Amino acid sequence: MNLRRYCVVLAFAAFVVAGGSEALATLQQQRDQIAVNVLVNVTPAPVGYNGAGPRIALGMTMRARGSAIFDAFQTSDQTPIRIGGRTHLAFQTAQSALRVQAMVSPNPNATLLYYNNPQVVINQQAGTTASYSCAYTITVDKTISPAWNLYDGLSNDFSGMSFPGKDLANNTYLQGAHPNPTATPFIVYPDNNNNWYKRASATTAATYCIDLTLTIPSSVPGGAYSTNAVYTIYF
Amino acid sequence: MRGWIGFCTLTVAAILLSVMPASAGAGPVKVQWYVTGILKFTLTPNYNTGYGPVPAKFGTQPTPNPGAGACLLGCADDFNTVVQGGQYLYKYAAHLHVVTNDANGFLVYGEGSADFSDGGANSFPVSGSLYYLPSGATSDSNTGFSPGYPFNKTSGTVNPSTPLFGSAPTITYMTYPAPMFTATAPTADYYQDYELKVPANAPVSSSEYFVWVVYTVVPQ
Repeated sequence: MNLRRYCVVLAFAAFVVAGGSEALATLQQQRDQIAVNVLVNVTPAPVGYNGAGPRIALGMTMRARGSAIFDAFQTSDQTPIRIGGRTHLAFQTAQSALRVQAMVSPNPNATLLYYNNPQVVINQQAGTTASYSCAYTITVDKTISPAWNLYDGLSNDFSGMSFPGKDLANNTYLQGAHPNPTATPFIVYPDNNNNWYKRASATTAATYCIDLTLTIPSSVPGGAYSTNAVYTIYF
Repeated sequence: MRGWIGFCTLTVAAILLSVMPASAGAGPVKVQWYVTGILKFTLTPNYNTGYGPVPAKFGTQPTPNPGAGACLLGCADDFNTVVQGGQYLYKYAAHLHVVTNDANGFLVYGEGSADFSDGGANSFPVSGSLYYLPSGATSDSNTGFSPGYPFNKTSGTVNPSTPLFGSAPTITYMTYPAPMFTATAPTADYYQDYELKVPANAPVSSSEYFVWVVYTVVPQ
């Protein structure tokens, strides 16, 4: 009997040691999960020779293609008869709409875990690093036992032509306190064996400021890129 | 009287033209003509079976459960009942089909015509609440946490200026926003899911919240 009890305790200890905080998290329940959309508008790095044709050549190619459809309808150009006006295609714009609708019902847990800003928009040039102070806040509004655990991470790498999510670092600190000495890269959930990073644990309410530091590789083309910073609370 | 004057004028002109010598000559003549621009845009909500909203979660996805306002290949994108602070994915929300004979291609703009409104005093912002993201024609691996791009409230002139549940508005632009898509081919299809992040402070209402998303296609 004692041996059986010993084995159970030993197995539990091994489970906790092997899984660490993740194992503990699984013993708790996920209570809420929210996401802050991070939208990055990348302006291209200054032009450098990359082996391809220079930008002006690309522009000329596009122009030539643009006039091709009209040229196809012309005869040899000697003494043109202009019927009047400019020789271009006359297009109208087209517009259509769809309705999006929803019924909103109350959520008693809506204030358990929340942000001050559903979306962060960053405009930055490729090949640069920049920091954004307190880009958003995350609040856990739980003041009674048991203790809560807050986990974070990115849902995925930046979409579009894609660049790594770990290029986005965070400095997460209690609002009103000093930032940490350094920022640490976000973990990317699917790249981390579908595990989040344990950010904080407490038994009182807390609001965290999140400074973001983004490094965009110079090879990233201009465009819009997006990911989600996901926050999950367990207790 | 005026009719007689017109008749006489035309008669004199015809006689003069008939006695004038025709100029003769040889040489190439350039003939050119206008081609009528064709731009056809078809917008189809709920474009595939399995359309509808699912709560945002990782792992196995729930079955979509659209509201009564949605129907296959039409109607509205109805997120059904959502909770304050909740986040949702709407699968197969919109299919945009564009055909033009402009070899330059075209630009697509998409914006909210207003904020979400319940038709009365309650509203919440469309910016930061409603997002779009690429989907597939017949398959969809997105979740409510897949990266999306925001629909913003337009700065164009909306007609009618007051949102109407049953009537699609139009937007007139003095300046276009950033394009949603830039096509360099004359024909393209775009498939979109939507995401809805309900603000935690969105007022609870007994009426349905709605917003019209307006797409505009402009040849390049």
